[in-house]
Amino acid sequence: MIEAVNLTKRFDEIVAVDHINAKIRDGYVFGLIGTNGAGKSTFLRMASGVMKPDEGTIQIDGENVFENPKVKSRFFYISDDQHFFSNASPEEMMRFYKNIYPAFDGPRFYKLMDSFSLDFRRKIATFSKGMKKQLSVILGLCAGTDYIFCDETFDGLDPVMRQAVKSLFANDMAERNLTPIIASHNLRELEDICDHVGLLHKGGILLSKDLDDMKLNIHKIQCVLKPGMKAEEIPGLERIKVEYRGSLATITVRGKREEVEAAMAACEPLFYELIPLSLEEIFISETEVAGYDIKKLIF
Amino acid sequence: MTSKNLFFKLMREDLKRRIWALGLAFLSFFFGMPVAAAMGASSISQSYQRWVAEGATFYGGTVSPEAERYNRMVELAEQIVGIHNVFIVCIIMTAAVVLGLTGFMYLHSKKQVDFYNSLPVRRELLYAVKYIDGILMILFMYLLNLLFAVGVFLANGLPLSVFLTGSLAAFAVHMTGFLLIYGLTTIAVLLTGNFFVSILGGIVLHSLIPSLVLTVYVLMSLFFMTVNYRGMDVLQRIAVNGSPFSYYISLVGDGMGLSLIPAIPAVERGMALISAVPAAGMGSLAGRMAAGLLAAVLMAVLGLFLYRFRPSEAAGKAMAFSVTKAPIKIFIVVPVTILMGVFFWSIYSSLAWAAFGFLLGLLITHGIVEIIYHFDFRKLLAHPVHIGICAVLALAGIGLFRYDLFGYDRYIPSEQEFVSASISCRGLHDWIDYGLPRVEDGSYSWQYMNEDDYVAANMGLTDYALVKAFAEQGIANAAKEKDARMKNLWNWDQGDGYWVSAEVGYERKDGSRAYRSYSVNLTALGETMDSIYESAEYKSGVYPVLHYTKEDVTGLYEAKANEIRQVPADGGLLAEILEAYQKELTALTLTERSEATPVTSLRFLTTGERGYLHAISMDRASGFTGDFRLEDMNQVNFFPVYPSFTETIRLLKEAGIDVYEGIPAEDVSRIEIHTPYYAASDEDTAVQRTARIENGDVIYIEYSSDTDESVAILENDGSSGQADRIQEVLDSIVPEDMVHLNQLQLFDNGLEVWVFRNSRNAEALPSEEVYTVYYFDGLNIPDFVKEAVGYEESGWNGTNISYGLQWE
Repeated sequence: MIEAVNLTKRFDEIVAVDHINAKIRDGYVFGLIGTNGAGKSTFLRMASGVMKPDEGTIQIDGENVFENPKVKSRFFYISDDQHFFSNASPEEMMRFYKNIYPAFDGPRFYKLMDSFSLDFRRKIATFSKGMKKQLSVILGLCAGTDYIFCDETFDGLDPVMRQAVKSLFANDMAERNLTPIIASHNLRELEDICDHVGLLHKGGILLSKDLDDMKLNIHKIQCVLKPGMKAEEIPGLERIKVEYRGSLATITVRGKREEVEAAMAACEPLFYELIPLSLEEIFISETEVAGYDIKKLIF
Repeated sequence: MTSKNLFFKLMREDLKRRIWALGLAFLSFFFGMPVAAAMGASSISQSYQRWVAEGATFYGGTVSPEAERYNRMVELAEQIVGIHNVFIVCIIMTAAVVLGLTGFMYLHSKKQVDFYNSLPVRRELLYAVKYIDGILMILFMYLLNLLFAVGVFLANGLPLSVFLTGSLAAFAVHMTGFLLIYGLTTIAVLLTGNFFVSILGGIVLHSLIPSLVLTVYVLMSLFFMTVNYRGMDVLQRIAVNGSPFSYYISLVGDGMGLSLIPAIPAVERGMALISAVPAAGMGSLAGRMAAGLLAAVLMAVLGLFLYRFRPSEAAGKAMAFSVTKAPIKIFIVVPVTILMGVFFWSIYSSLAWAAFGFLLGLLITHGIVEIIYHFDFRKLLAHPVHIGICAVLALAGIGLFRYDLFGYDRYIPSEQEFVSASISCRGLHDWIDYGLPRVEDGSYSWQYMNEDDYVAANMGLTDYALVKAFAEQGIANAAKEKDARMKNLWNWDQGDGYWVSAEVGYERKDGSRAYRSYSVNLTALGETMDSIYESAEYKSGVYPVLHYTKEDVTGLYEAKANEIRQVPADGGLLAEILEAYQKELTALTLTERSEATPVTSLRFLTTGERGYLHAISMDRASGFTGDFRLEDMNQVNFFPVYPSFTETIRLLKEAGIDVYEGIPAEDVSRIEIHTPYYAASDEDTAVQRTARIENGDVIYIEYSSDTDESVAILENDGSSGQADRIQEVLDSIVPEDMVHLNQLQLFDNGLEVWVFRNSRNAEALPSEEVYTVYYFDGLNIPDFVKEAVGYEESGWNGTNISYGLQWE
């Protein structure tokens, strides 16, 4: 488990990461969401031992990361602009990493390169941005580490590749309990992969929750009520937001599904149904509760 | 995986990344050593084949073509694999800078910092890999190509023993230089976060100490009137040792002086084929190399410390460590501000210009540094407090020297700390040759020595009161000179008298020495200077001949009027003359020197000098086998004989040399008296003429406005009247070389008397007519000569100011 306690990093007068406390459980996908400058990259650079925290600690299974090769050998860090040796081919990079990561899976590297239709002998300098991202992910997965840190890695991947990478992650999570930590400014990118999401803003963490927990407790109801009745008048609902389009009301509520259905049935609407919330909507709801306008934070 | 394995694997990976550097290093050394060796050897072999075909021999037949070929091959080895290969010095310097800059350049890229620092590798290991790779690349490429070059020389018949020591010593010197430059360049890269700034940082670090020394040197030269270069040895040492470049160059210079692969002197070529010669001074070089290596190790450790604690976020910034910003800025701004202020002051000698230069240096340098620190032109005047601190420090630095808060110019050691002193008065002993023959590797060379060096090493005046009186006048004069200089008056009122520049060295009880230069009026010093000069301690420090022993001396020679002859004195008489001369020279007074011209000069030839002359004669005359040729002896190391040296003069006469023997008029064909006086004004050409003195009359035969001298000619026409006039002139003159031996006596250096002697021109062609230059002794100038040259009309004459005499 990765645990950040009061993690703080300053760049001169700017506080890039401000006393963050977070726990990242093994075997789950942790999504790190935030606008540019929110502190995602800085958090990951501290998590990967690139930077030393000014205050607080970041540990993996109780051991500090910074200057701890034993701990650092447990993760692979893919930065937002991954470095490859000049004039190197993927195969040369693979050989380099093989020296560094003892569990590096060479045969799998060739297999994945083939799957992604990447030439392992071609100079990386001639690769497109997306191809470099794919190569980074392949190298990261083949390194055989417990964690993989991805900083905006999905940015630049086409939807097919994105899906392929997600599948690979899912596969490795299932097979060897890989824990991906993915930082992105795009909620939609993480929607179908993250188990747990941390929202960063101005260096601080606004919320950190399991996606399932959030989904279980927030519901969106579309309904047409009896004439003369308003959504605000329905008893037993913890309303978060109400919108009207003509007679069609859309109510976002907090609470258990059974309780929400019971409350709706009791008011005898002409029509109602519970529809799933997108990650975006869940975040809007959650952050609005916290007093933030999520649209200003992310979109 | 063990760290050891990882270390080597990372090294291999790093070398792959820097294959370009390996290639460049290989090519540079390849052309610098094996190719150059092969080309040189080929050239020598071709010459050798030609010599054999032509049946040539060398050095009077003493050297065979085989020996000459061998010897030239030795010289080639010294130039290629020895320390003399300047091309290797250039390669080493360039490689150290390039590898130092590029080895850790990745730290300036955020992308690469993320990559390297996220790897499960300790930073110390990464540093060691990069640092050691940079060294090994040069080390292996050097050794590999050295091996190739050695192969070339072995293939050409040169035994390894001849050049093994020299080539390995050169290798050690070059690697020491490389490590020093590489280490400091690496530190510059580690302290900065941008490639351009790291180049600037490298320049700053490499030149910081020499620049500070230069600043101190300039301030001392400008504000201290008694500055002495010998006393600045410490500054020079600091400057040399304070920069890897200068230290490396000095190491190479030391190595070159050792002749580690000794070339064979021409005179000994062919006598024996040389083998390895143990080099004297190797210990000193080894000591300096060890010190250099220690410094290199310390720099490597400092580099490790910086690498370990360098924040990753420093990539892209100007400076990696904020804490270094202000000190480095101050170290740059303060000296530049001082130098700019002083520079403008020295040009215009105006306080306003000094202030302008000061402010210009302060604001521009500070502004440039701030712009570089922030990569933002708007930060030109950032940190005004720092500007203030720099201004105060620069002013304090200037003030320290301007007002001599060290008391440098006023320094005289206390009687308690005083041991002895040396006083070297230029103008009292300029004429003495302090050179000595030097024997090295069987060859002779002449080692010239500065007169001040000799005095500093040999004089030990113990009379504190005399030394203090001398120094006090020097200090008082220095104060007057400084007052004048600060008022922009570079010529200060010195007053009448015989002025000399003097170097005074104080030896203190703690063993240290301090040196000062004074302007001193010896006339005003009066009895003090007489007492100093008359002391045996002073004479012993000025006249090397007083250290000669009869065992050293192998012959006696007399020189006068540019003619050298041997004094036929055997061992016993020679020892007597030496003893008498030393005694009478010790008793010589300044009063006599101010009144008399030496009557002749003597050289007591030492064993070393004889060997030196023998070597010269061997070299100059093919097949010469004797002692040495008199014509190969220069007029050096001849010491004056004054009229008061009666015992010496008597003993010389006993040996057959009459120092008072004059020139008979009948031996003189002509006398020309040249007066290189300029006219009082451009229009006045009255004194520019050629005259003949005939039958007691002066006949002007030519006036000219083109020449800048008048000439009066006395032809010896055989008449008794003309002979009398010639004899009158001959009785009034002294040889130019005797006048220059003293310099304190009264003579008119504006009247040159050229004497053409029949005995010297007997075999010469008219076009090669020789003459000897004389001056009139004192102001004893015949009236007919004065009339002929327009002596009184000239407006001034070139009379030498005699010691003790004043201008009139």
